[in-house]
Amino acid sequence: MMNKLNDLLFVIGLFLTIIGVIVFLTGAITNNDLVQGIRVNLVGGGMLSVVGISMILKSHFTKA
Amino acid sequence: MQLSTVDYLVIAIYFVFVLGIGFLVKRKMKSSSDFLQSGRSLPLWITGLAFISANLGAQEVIGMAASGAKYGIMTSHFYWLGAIPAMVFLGIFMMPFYYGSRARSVPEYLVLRFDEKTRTFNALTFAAMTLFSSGVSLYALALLFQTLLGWPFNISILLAAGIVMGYTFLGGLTSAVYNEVLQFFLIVLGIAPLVFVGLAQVGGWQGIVAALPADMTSTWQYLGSEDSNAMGVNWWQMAMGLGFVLSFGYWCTDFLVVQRAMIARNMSAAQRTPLIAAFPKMLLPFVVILPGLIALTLHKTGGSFQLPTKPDGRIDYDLTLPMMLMNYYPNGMLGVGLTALIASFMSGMAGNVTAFNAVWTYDIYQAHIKKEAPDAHYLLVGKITTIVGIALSIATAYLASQFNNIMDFLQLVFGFVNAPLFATFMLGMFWKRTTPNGAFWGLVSGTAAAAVTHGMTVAEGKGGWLSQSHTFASGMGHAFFIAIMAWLVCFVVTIAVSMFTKPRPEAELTGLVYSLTARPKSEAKVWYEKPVVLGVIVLTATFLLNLIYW
Repeated sequence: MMNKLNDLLFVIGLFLTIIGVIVFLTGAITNNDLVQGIRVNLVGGGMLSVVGISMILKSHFTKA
Repeated sequence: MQLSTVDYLVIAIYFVFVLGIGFLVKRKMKSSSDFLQSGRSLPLWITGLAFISANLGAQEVIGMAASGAKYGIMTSHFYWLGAIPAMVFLGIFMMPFYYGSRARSVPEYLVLRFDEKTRTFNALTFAAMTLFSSGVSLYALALLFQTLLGWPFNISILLAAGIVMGYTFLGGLTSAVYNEVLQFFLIVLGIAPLVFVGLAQVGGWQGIVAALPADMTSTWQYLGSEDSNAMGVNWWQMAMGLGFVLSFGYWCTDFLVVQRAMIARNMSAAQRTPLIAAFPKMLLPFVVILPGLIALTLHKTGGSFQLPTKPDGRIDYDLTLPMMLMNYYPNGMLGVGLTALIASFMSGMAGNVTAFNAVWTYDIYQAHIKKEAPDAHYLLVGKITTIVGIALSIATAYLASQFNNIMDFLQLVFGFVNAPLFATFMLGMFWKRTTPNGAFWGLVSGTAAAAVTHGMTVAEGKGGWLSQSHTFASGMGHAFFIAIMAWLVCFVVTIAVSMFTKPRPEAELTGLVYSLTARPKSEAKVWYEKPVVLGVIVLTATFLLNLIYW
């Protein structure tokens, strides 16, 4: 049975990953997210995805 | 920038997840303790993040960006002076009594240490304060929806209240805490790219320093007098009013935040909760205050962003952050940024409702209405209180929409309630001679002193309803002074009355008073498990931040 720590890590990780991927793909497909030399959707979506995936992996490998 | 399908999709996914969290934890809600106290079993990192997120509501996120644009980097005093030292004090000195006494709420500590009347006074004022605060969050959220998205005010209120009720009714405090953790990541990751973009445009911190008046980019140098800085306060008001009274009053006695540490799984985790929380807290100014400074820099230099204005032409600082998001974010991240704001509003409301639940159920209902009942009864009362709390919050939200100064009123109420309460706790925990009558009359006198001070002094056209003995340069300086007076009067009256009334026997105060309680033996094996070591690191880092932005 998963404990509270793993439950939460997984749920938050999943949420961040889903919206991160959506934002990243939006930037990659539309290619109109350049602001002040920064691809905002790629950077923001990438950050969300990396943090989200890290949390999912941590929940998987954390001892219940 | 207009919202597109992808932005609405992100917002919709957020709503699905917050309700999903409610359903996920619903099956674990078997007792009133599970519902109102999370079964006192949450891990340290969750309670730590929830501790700061409980204070990361809408007023904080939007208000701090607004203050950044209005007052500059001096706003960071609300973190580096007005939060971190108090959090360290709470973790090292006060949590052993809150947690060790097994009190289920802050008011319940008061009945253990003093008596029923002191507990009831605090429970009633706190309950009223949380309902007002929750309603103001709801009102502000509906206003944001209306302004930015064009959604009808009534629909926005009902939608937000319905979702918050859904997840707090299903999962109680656990659900609220989980959503606070989610909100923390959303705010940091949702606003950080805005800071990157903004700094790139203004030329980094050096660009801000070059463009703005010197007092806007310095934390301490211009605090010599009230007239030398935009905030209109001097160093004494700042240090004593914010750094001591208001800060310690809020962080050490407000049940909304202290509750997050009280639900930790053991004493060590409870002590370290505010200390762990202090690390991200000290860095939050770079996420919530810096956008305000960037906006002001762009405004002053005639850049691509101008600060929003009200119909009468005055700058509307409260819209600084939402308008920055609308101006700079492309569709996609715009949805994430707005979701972060929505999350802060909803979590702020949920935090207040869950704190109200616990205080109503334990400190008012169980103490005065039905003392002995099966646990299932109190679980039911907690759930019903959730619905009632949300309904009252909706009523308060409509009340807020009728009065344009309710935010000022609310801030004032915080000063009235929390400032004297800190004197009561300080004396109660660290002076065994403090008597129940001393505490009660000190608390009542302190609150009355706050009201009288407000009535006799004036700032920005507010206050002065008794006389106008002194005019302050700013509302903030006024609020700080009122808090100082409330604390001082409570402190003096508590001591004076205690000297003439009978204290409780020492045997009854073990575990409640510092000098009568054995120091708990530390079982920490490594340095990062030791509260004192963590406290020293946090304070040193905060001191360095003050020095860097001196």
